[in-house]
Amino acid sequence: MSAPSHILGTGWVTPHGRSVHDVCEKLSRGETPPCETLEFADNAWPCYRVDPSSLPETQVFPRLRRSGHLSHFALGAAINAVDAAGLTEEEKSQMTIVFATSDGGVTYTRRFFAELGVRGPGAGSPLLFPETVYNAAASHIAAYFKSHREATAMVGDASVALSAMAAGREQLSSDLTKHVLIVAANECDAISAAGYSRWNFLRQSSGGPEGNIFSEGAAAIVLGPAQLGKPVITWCQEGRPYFSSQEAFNSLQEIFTCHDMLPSLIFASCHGTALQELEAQAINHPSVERIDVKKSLGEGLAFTAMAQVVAASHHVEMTSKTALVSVCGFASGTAAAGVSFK
Amino acid sequence: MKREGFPVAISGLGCACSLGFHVSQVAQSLRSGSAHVVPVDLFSVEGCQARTAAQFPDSPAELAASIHTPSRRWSRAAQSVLIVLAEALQNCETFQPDVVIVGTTSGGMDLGEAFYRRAADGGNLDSASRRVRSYLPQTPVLDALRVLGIRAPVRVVSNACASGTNALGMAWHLVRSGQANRVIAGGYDTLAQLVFAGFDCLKASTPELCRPFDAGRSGLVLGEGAAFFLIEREGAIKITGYGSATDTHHLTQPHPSGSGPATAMRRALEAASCEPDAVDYINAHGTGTPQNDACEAAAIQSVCPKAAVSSTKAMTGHTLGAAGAIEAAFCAISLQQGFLPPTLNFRGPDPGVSLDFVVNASRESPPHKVLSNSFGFGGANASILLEVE
Repeated sequence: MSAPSHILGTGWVTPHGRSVHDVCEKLSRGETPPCETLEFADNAWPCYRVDPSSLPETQVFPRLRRSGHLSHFALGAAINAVDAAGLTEEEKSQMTIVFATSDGGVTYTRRFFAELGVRGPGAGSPLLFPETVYNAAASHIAAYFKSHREATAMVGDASVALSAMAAGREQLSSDLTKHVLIVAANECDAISAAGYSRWNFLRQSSGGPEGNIFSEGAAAIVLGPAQLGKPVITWCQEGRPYFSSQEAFNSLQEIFTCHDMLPSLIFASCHGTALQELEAQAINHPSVERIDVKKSLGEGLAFTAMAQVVAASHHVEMTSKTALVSVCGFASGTAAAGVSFK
Repeated sequence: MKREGFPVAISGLGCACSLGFHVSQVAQSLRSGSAHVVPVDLFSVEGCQARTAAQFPDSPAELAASIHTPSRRWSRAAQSVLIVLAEALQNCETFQPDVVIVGTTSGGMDLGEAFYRRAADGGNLDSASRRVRSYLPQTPVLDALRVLGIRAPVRVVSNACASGTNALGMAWHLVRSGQANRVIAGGYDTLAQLVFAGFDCLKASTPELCRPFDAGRSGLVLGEGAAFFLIEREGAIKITGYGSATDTHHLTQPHPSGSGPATAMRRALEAASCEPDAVDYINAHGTGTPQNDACEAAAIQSVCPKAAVSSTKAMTGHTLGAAGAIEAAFCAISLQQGFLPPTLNFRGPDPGVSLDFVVNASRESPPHKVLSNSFGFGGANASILLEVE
């Protein structure tokens, strides 16, 4: 729907660290970060977590003094992307922000609800509740950059990251803004692990190899006007709904047929789930190398979908070739995007 | 500066809230100035200072089941979305949107809470998958669209209490710029214990009556509802402007100057090339909290001091992510039926506020241009302008 838009800067906060180049090297080698364990009500799940000490600049930002991990991750990735884009202070204050998440600040939600359970409905903490609101991180990012343009939060499965990208591209196409910062983030919490493992999307500590390892972090890109040497999002198909494996396959196939491209590298989404083979079949480029970002970064929902975009952008910037990003979310969303060098 | 573009119009509307499950019921109650604020019976409010909310007049389950029988097992949110989308589409059954954009803050929170309780109590979770899936904010919309035969990408905007207006604004951009021809946009939220307790612990809820803009106001009353619009180029009521702004003052409190709301209102008027004095009526965000109403009154006085103003939240409660869509629906009803809905429970304004409030009874005065304001946590501010030819 929108014209091509350039990726002026990228950044991320991952269980592997924050350097885009170094983490991409690890992705290409299929390296995995150290595994930790989430526990809740006699269940346990392995997970990949972010080292909090990797976020010194967000920890001294006063607005985040009482915030959960999600906001720290999101702001950390945003700072890296905006720095990489080289925006001026004026440009930062005029940029639009789109924040994508799947579960929001779920740790605070669980803690708040636990307080209600233990102390009664009238005894919730006024410090926790505001951080449970989905757009809290978007608001903190806007405050950090002193942006007074629209800061929008979008929610969905992994495909929401590409919906956010589509929304950002529309803003650029409509000349409403010169730069859009798009951030996607996820935080690990046992209650969401308990939920997702019901669908066999997450691996349980006591179970077999099915499903992925839950993970957390944030990834961000800055979109803006054409700039020499910067990758271009040539097309972006936002999340199309599916209600069965066959529908997911059909939907992905339709997207790839509609946006016919022969990529040099594919960043696919479904490592470790039943959807993985189906996604590979729909992509139908058996000779093209595929990197399963989630093999190294785990299942971080919106975060890992945006990490696919960051990794694709890095690949294109390094090789001047094209990359395909394919996303098959766990709850009804298929999406894809093409990144190239023009 | 007006940006040229395609016209953006409303071709279908559905709305449900404490005033009723259909636009005709809602319009009648708006005109008569009825409220449906009752003691909460959906969950425990023990220990909360507030005990009332603007609940739906009945459970939505039966009505939803009359459209799709299996919806009896859906979340309350999903049932209300199905009812409202079906109403919006009733005269436009062939309407196939390019995208569906929905504002919400809580999704199917009631089932999420049920899952949490079961998990925390060490209960068996094997049968709980449905609860988890239904907790996700996109699920109520996806399920309803599937029943109604619509397949389109669904975007969920969750910008706290501005979500519904943001969703309409996003739809406005898409149609106006020609990036989409047809969009379904709106919002939904139903009452949930976590949210009720959250506003209560912030002391934002009142144990008394909700009295927007009244000098003695003491807080908001929560509500529930949904509204959806079919948006395309043809239709009697046009959406002519949208503006938004972020106030970075504080996560939950607006800057006292009202600069955020004023900027959003100005941007909406600029987008429509509308002079401030041409605005006949403003459906204010008007939550009834001391801070919001003082800040909004300052913003309205600085931008549109001559417009008639009311807040319908004393009637419907604050429906959070649905509020922007529901109140835009009220604006559309006002434009269609030629009256301005009232602010109930009003006794007198803050000192120094001299706005033309429509108080305690609706006013028969056909408006031509109306502005709907929505503001939320995180400093999200949004305004949308509707006009009738």
